[in-house]
Amino acid sequence: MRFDEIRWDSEEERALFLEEAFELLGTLEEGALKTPPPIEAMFRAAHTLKGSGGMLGLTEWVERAHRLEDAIDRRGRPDWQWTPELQQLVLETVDALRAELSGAPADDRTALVRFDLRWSASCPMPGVRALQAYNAVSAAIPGTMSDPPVDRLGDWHGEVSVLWVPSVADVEEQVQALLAVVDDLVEVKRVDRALEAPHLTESPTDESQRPDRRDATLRISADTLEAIMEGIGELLLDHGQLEHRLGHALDSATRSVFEHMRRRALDLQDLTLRARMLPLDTLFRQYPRAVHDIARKLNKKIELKTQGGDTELDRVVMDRLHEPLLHLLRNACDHGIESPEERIQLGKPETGTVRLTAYAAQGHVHIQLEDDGRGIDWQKLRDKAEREGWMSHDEAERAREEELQDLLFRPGVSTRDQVTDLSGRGVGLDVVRAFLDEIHGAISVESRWGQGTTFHIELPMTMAIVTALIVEAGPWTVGFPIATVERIESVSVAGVKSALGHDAVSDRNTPLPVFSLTELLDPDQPHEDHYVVRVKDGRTQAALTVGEVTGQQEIVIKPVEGLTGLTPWLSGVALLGDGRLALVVDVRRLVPVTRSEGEALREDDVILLGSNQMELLVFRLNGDQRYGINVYKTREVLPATTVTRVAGQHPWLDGVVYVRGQALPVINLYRALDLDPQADSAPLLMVAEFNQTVQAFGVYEVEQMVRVGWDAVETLPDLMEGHNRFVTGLINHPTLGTIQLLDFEALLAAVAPPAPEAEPQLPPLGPEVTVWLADDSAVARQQVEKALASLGVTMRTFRDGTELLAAVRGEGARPDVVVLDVEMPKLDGYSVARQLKESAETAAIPIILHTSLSGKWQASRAQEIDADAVITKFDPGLLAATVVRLVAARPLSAVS
Amino acid sequence: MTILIADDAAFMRMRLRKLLEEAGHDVIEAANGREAVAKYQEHRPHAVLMDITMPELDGVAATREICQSDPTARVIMVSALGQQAMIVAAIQAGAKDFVVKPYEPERILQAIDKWARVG
Amino acid sequence: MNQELLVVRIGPYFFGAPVLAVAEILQLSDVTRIPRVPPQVAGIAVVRGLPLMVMTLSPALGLPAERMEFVLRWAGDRNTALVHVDEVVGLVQVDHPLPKDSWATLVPPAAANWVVDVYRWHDEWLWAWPEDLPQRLAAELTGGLKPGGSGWAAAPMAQGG
Repeated sequence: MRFDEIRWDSEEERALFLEEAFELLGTLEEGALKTPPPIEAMFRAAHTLKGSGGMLGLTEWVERAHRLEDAIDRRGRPDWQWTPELQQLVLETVDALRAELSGAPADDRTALVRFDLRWSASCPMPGVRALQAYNAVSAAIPGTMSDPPVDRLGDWHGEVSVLWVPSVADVEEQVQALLAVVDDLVEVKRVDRALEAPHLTESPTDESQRPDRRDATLRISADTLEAIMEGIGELLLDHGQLEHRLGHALDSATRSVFEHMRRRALDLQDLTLRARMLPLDTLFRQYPRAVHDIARKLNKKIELKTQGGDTELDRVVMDRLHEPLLHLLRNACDHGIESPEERIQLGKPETGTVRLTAYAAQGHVHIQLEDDGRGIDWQKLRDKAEREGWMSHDEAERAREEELQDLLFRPGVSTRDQVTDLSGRGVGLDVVRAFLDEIHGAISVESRWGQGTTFHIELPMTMAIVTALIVEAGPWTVGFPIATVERIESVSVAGVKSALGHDAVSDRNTPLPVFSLTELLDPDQPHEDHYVVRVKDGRTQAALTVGEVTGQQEIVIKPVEGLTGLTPWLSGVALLGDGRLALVVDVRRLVPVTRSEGEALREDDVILLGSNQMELLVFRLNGDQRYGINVYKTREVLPATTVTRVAGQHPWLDGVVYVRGQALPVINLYRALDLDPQADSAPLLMVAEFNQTVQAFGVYEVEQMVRVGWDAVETLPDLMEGHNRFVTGLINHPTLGTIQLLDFEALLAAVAPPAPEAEPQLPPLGPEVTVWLADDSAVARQQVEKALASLGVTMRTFRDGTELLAAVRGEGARPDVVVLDVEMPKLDGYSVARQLKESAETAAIPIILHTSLSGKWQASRAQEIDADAVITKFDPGLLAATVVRLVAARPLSAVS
Repeated sequence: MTILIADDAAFMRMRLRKLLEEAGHDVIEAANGREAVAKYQEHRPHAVLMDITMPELDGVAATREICQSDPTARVIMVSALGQQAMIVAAIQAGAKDFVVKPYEPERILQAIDKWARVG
Repeated sequence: MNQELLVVRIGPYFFGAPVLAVAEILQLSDVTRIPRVPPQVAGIAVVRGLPLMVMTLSPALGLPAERMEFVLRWAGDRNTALVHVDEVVGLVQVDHPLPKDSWATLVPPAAANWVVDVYRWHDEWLWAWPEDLPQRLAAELTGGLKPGGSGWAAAPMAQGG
């Protein structure tokens, strides 16, 4: 029987056979043309071709394949040699088999001509185009075949497809003419054998980057894998039923076989799941070319950088991801990146950069698409929200980016007014989001006006394989990814002591908080802890006590559907070999303390900066009243030590302590705040640093850290002001009650007045220059006014950021410089700065962030946090000089 | 030329109608696949712009019926992103080409000029 | 209005699930409890090798947490939600749901979310679940609706007889 006579059970079968046959014939053909030829691979190919043909009853096919197989079988033939005749045999066999596939009559041995069709990388449906091409050519030249086979084209998103065309007269001209009608076809190339045949569906990439899947691979359709998965699932289900029925009746030998069976099935399942994973590079490979094409079409210069392409993703999810990603890329090129001329004018590099990054974390695969283009005009979006009635004016003004971004994903929204050829009207983010919703993914966006936009896509991860430390905590089995485990010790050895009011172990002389893992999970659960596990994940560091340590094993983490939002501390669960279910935890989200002492601050802090939040260290002086101080001001907490009185010191000072060789003044808060002093001196000393000085405060107890929003801080009612002039504001905490925020600057100013301002040798700027200042501390306002007095500028002061913003927006006034305190109630300085920078009308106003937080890291954050300068309090000379500098730097056309 | 628009969204039909009429074509509308097949038989337009997802009878099935009854029929699919498999099925059922939504007006007109049956 | 319900028992109460909404009934050997979750989340069960969340209505009904043996796997839209039940009674044809005002006040606020009809069945009250029960339960978890305490205990049973 011949190929075209076969009656197929399904189209799927036929397509699969064709696909495999093409690949194997390709292996034989390419192999025969190589020196030296890969004989093993060729032998296997011939062997497989023979086998598949045999199953279908293709008699002539099997004969040819068998002859070939024999000829290139060198097992047991020490004198076997590769000869030109052998090469000819291989090639002739390939031609004949291909011809049979195309339906040519048995005696027609002419080789088919190969045409490589390259499709435009920006074409959204290359599979359809390939089908149209096939239709066009095969209608005129029967016997034409397509690779990938026609039935596979529905899922195909590659760049190059192949047509095998019977060798008729003028075949090349005919094919070119027939294909003229098909769109998006970039190139039609006839590939003759003598040439180095290019590979199918591959674009030039570095071979070494791709994972080694080429040897002994088999094509298998996603549906088949799915079927296998289902089958194994049913097997496991049946096993569960059996176990339920027979469980008690089994003797231990039978029971162990039973367990073994289950383990085998689970392993099979994991293997199959694994087979569905492909590296993201499979998608990413195509994009540099696509971006290049798009850029050329738009007359822009754009470069695409990709990273993390080895991150693996379920192939089914990846298939569906291609179009939305391409859409976002197009948007970035079209709407994001500016024209080369515009970019030069803005001081940006002429070539725009689009960065595509992928990584796996916390049970998700993350993909980030970042461009350094013009960014999103949030103010315009706010205006639109108001106009369309989606938000009231106030809501729109106060809305943060996270709230506004939802609007971007509404159908029909575009913050660009032009229509361009490529992306229609810039519509389509709603389509992208709809896609992602379907596959249980998510998308969010961040953008800085003038700087660029970043899209962040989160995709569900089917599974992840990691090595983990397995421990017992109460009734639970818990797993820690081995990368987070630093050390394991038995409890007696670790030496748990007491510091900061909590259990602690020492870690290079700094206290590391100790928590019982069981208690973290459930405070009421009785437990007995024998081991201490030190964990570290980013900035989160802690020592966790556990019951038992089982050991290290490789586990497969599977996320639990429905639970991921509820339990952010749980990355997923893993089925251990002995049948237990291990809870794999995310250390960062499990451990309550987020600061490790004395370390430089890292990325996590940026989240706090600009989110209008801060972390407060809560302490008590006496009684129940709680006080709070910004955590970043506190350096450490020590047990009280000897305080040395100094003659003539301020009545509020207790004296001086020596900490690691440094002499620190000790301020007695009880006297300063007019509280009943403790009978004995306070047991703890809190060391704080700000305004470039370090001092210590005696406190009774340091309790914990809480995160609060600045908008939750209430200013004191006016009646109280005179009485408690050192209290900046109050926070009503749900569990801790009222927390008073102390104005440490005022305290300091009272105890140690700042040195008289050095007369700055600066030219006066004159009253036409306006400087606006927002600071909630009256003392600070006074100090700034004094510092800038010699410049002769017109100053306007505000008690907080919202008042300043209201003046900017309401009056349309434009100060020449804005000085912002950072810690203010309602809206912190970062938020004010961001809002000013986000709006095109005020973006050009220079902003100085005037902060009492320690200056070590501030400067590097200045750019990220939209300020033009960051100055630590209190340095009047520097402040004045900075104002002068910023005024001088403003372009002449700036509105004053 | 006479063009048949099949789409269940009235808004889409209206926009397409406007576009085509401004280009000098005559327009017939159908709101679902069944109606599309019926109107095709009745009016024998020069080309059909067929949406994929429609009630009663979807675009692929309607295309099949139309092309079976009239092998010279020129059907152009109009679809959203992400429906490649269905478009492939549509082409196998007889459609000639496709345009992606949101569409650029020129693309629709070009497709019609290229494929519409003349006479 | 004729309906076919899969009748299940939770504690002393009988509920009916719309037959088409239930994908399968499973007998579990093991539900692993997890900490730091609301009481409606009983834990995780491994079905066909994959971990799934098991929800239970017992706390809302004021019933003690007991051994979980049976669960219903709900159909539809990839939601593999598992709802725990104590016993599966069988398929029942019902009609003539009772008028809402006759039972509306007997249902505690939390359960009101999951009862759409009530039928009289063999001297028992049969509380019919909506088709989207798991979605409603999930919304409760995130929306912060607290399941009621022991509001059920006496009323309907006492009235029955």
